[in-house]
Formats: sequence, structure tokens, C-alpha cells
Amino acid sequence: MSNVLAKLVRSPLFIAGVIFLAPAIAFAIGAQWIAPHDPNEQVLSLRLRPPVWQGGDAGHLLGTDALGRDMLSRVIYGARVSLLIGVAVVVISGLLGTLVGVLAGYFGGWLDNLLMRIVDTFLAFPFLLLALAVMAVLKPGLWNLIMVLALTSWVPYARVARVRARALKGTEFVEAAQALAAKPLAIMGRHILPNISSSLVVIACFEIGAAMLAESTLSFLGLGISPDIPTWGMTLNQGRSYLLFAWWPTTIPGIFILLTVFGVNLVGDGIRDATDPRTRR
Amino acid sequence: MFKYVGRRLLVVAPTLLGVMLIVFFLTYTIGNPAVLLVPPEATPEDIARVEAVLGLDQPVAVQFLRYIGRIARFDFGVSFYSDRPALNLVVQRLPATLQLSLVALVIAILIGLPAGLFGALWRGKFADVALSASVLFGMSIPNFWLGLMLIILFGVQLRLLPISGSGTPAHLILPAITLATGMLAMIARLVRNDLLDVLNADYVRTARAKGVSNTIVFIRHALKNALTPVITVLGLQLGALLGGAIVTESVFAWPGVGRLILQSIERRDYPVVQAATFILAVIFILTNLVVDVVCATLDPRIVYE
Repeated sequence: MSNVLAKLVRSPLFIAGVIFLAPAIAFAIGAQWIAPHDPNEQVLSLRLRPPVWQGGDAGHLLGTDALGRDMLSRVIYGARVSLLIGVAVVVISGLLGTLVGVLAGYFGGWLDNLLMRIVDTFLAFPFLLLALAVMAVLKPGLWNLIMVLALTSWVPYARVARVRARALKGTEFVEAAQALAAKPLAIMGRHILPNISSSLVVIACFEIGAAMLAESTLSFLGLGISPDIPTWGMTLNQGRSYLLFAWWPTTIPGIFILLTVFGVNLVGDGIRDATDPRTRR
Repeated sequence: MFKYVGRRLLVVAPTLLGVMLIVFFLTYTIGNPAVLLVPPEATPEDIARVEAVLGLDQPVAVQFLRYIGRIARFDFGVSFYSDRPALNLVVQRLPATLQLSLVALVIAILIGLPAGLFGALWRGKFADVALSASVLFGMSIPNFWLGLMLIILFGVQLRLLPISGSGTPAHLILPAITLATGMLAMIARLVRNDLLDVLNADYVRTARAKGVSNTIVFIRHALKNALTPVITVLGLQLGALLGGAIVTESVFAWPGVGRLILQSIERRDYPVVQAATFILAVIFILTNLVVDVVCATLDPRIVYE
């Protein structure tokens, strides 16, 4: 473990990732202290003010949106919701996918067949289409969105966990545990899970980024969470109508999405390089 | 070989059934379309009559069985909105989506493949690190946002390219670039990692030990074997490409299936949503079937487990 940490600290990509992630994490934790304004406070006399370097006023560093709301404050509060969604989705879908994958891989047979047909069915859908259709059915809302994204993103964990669990099933230490009459659940929990967790952590990192992108996409299509919660995708979408004469309401939230997802992906890559034996040299 | 294809086909059937089940229940729960079809002054009796005409008054199970029966005859019903067969509407929009996706795929392969190759060749050097970082950056760009930024840059600032609609090849450029970016990054990443795996394999070491030149080892031994997993994943990525097409078409007002689906969801036009989702899923399943067969032909080690 300390070995992995030492590798991470020496990996330039990992460090870069942490640096890109830092603002979003700081915003998410301290939004109420950092943000200069209430993100939903409308000042109609100050609508669509450009950022300060394009002649806007000093009170609104990144300008204001079409309702006179402070862009910087919306972006800062948006970090909280976007990160919450990313992490919550990954926790739920990771648990579900790992459970399905380990069960299928360890037991094999008809259970494996059944679970893998379900996986195939989910794979046969463009994921966005599935999320769209479900969001169109459900009421917009934070937890509905998280459940939908979790429902559409558990498959990668299941596939990797299944393959790894199957490979581990034939190893001596698992056979030894079986010979000692250990219960299947205990074997899966104590012997299989710890050995596949590093691959799953790497998937989870990339999936946090994917979930954040998916949230912004659904919000962009008008199927995200309620309009008064300032997520990055929602803020971006609300600026879209003014795209042709005001660039900032669309561009700025997008930059934050991009840099944060980039940070998560860099961190994921760093962890993979540090834990994957194939990349050790 | 025939046995492999046959078995692979057998697996397709339950997948298709699962797809139909999901599509049916999703659209079933979207809301009552009869309410949308009648004028505002309609009485509850009028709504009930419309429901009866559409078969919406039947139990769910009956509706589902009827639905499967109709799909078997390629009958997806009539669009609630335009009074034309839903399947026709979808098929009519299909060429635009396929055109956009294919152009994007070609761009992604033309740039992604060499990028991955060079990444593997220059492993660990500065160029590789820079390429890897750019690839991760490409994967992190929200697709629709890239589209909007391209609109601002090329349509508003430079006024070089059309920003919405279709018709001329110029209309295709911005949507295709938008759709290609994520895919390109994915391909580059895959090619690099697969190549690195293969370059460590015993047979490559053996070939090197025999004194085969680097270029020949690379082309004949490494590249050929690294491409099979790449092709497989490309097939699976088609789903992401079709999903991305929904967003890209909406940004650029491209008249494809994706935009049709979004409009139909808004209008609660079930038959069209069902037909479009089903067709996209079938395209996806069939493509992966073909991909698997191609890979099995290329690589004799693949047998159906």
C-alpha cells in the first residue's frame, strides 16, 4: 500500500490530476464561505454582464447570467452538486456491478448465464438513450438522477469483476478455503474481493468523470434536476439561448466540467499505473 | 465457424427480448398519450374513447404481448403525432444518423490509430506522456459543450462554417468533429495499451531474439494481434457513438434519429420512441455480432465458451 502511495506521489499525471481537482473539491466543501453571492439571487438590472476582463463590474468576476445571477457563485455551488452526483453514482453502481460480477464469476453455470444476458441487454442500449428514457418517466430530482445514472453504469464493474473472480476461483488459496469448508460468501468477501479491488477502484475513478459528464448532458437536454439547483450542466444549459451574443454563461461552466473530469481521469490513470502489475517496470 | 455463428445468434434472441421489455415498460410509463392527443375541452369519455382506439385500455400484459406480436411483423404502430407509420419515420431519419456516425468514426480511426501507435512506440518518453494527457483531456470534454464551443468559434467569430442544419458537406464538419473527439481519444488509448501488452508477449520476444527487424516485428507480430481487442471494443463503443449522436444532433439541428427520439420523448409519441430505440438496439447488436465473427475469423484461438 505504501508502495502504491510512493508511486502515486512520483507520478506527474497523478499530481496534475490532484491539482485540477483541488478547486472543485474546495468549492464543494466551502461553497457558502467562498461564494461572493447567493447563487440564486437575481439582480435583473445586472443581466448578462460580461466577465470583469471584458468590461464587467468587479462585483461579478465571471459576469452574470440572463437572470442577473452571479456566474462565479453558481459555478462554486455547482461543484458541490456535480461532485456529489459523481461520487454517489459510483458508490451505488460500483456496489451493484461488483456484486453481480462476483456472483456470476464465482458460481458460474445458469446464474452466470442469466446475469450475463442481463448485462448484454444493458450493453445493447446506447446508455444515454436509456438514461433519457428513464429521466423522461421519472420526475426530475437529485436522487432520481443519481439512481438513473447508477442503473446505466454498473455494467463495467460487473464485467471486470466477473472475469477476475473466475480467474481467482481456480487459484490455490481459494481452493484451500473451499477445502476448509468456508462458506461461499466468506470466500467471496475475504479472498476474492480484496484481490480485485484495485481494478475496480480504477474503473470507479473513470466512472466518476463519466457520471459528471452524463449529469451535465442530461441537464443540457433539460432532463436533469430541478432548475433552481445550480449544477454545472444546468447553468450551462440555461446560457445556451444566449450563445450567439454572450459566450460566458455557456463557456465557463463547461470549462469547470472539463477540468474537473480531466482531473478525475488523470487520478484514475495514475492509480492504474501504480497498481497494475503489467505497467510496473 | 458456422457453429460459432449459430451459437452467437442464439444469444441474440434473449437480448432482443430484454431490449423490447425495457423499451416497452419505459414508454408505457412515460405518461398517457391520449391526454395529449385530444383538444383541451375534451371530456373524460372522449379520452377513454381515444385510449380504446389506441389499445391503451387493455391490461399491461396484453399490451406487451400485442406489442411483441406487432414487432415480429415489423409493425411499430402509427406515430401519434404525424399519423405516419413509426418505422417509416425512423427509417427515413436513419441515413442522416449513419452518415454522421460513419464520418465521425472514420475521423476517429484516422487520428486515433496513429496516435495510439506512436504512444506505444515512444513509450515513457515525453511525447507519449503528452499524447496520453491529450487523450485523457479529449475523454473529459463534454460532447455537447464542444459542439457549442465550435459553434461560437467557427460560426459566430470566424463565420467559416454553417452551425445548424444539413444539406452540404460543410454542414457535416462541425457535428462530425464533435462526435469524433471522445471516440478518437478512446481508440488512441486502447491501441496504445493493447500494443504495449502485445509487445511484452513471448512471441514478440522470440521474434526479436531471432533477429527480425523492429519494423517487421511491429507490423507482423504486434499490430496484427493488438487490433483484435481494439475491433471488439470499437463494436461496443458504437453504443456510445449512437448515444453521442443524440446530443450532437440536438446541438446542430442535424435531422437524424437522435433528434427524432428527443422530439418524440417530449411529445410522448410512444410508437416512434419504441421504433427508434428498437432499431438502434438492433443495429448495435448486429454490429457486435459481425465484429465477433470477424474477430473469430482473424484469431483462430477464439471459440465460443
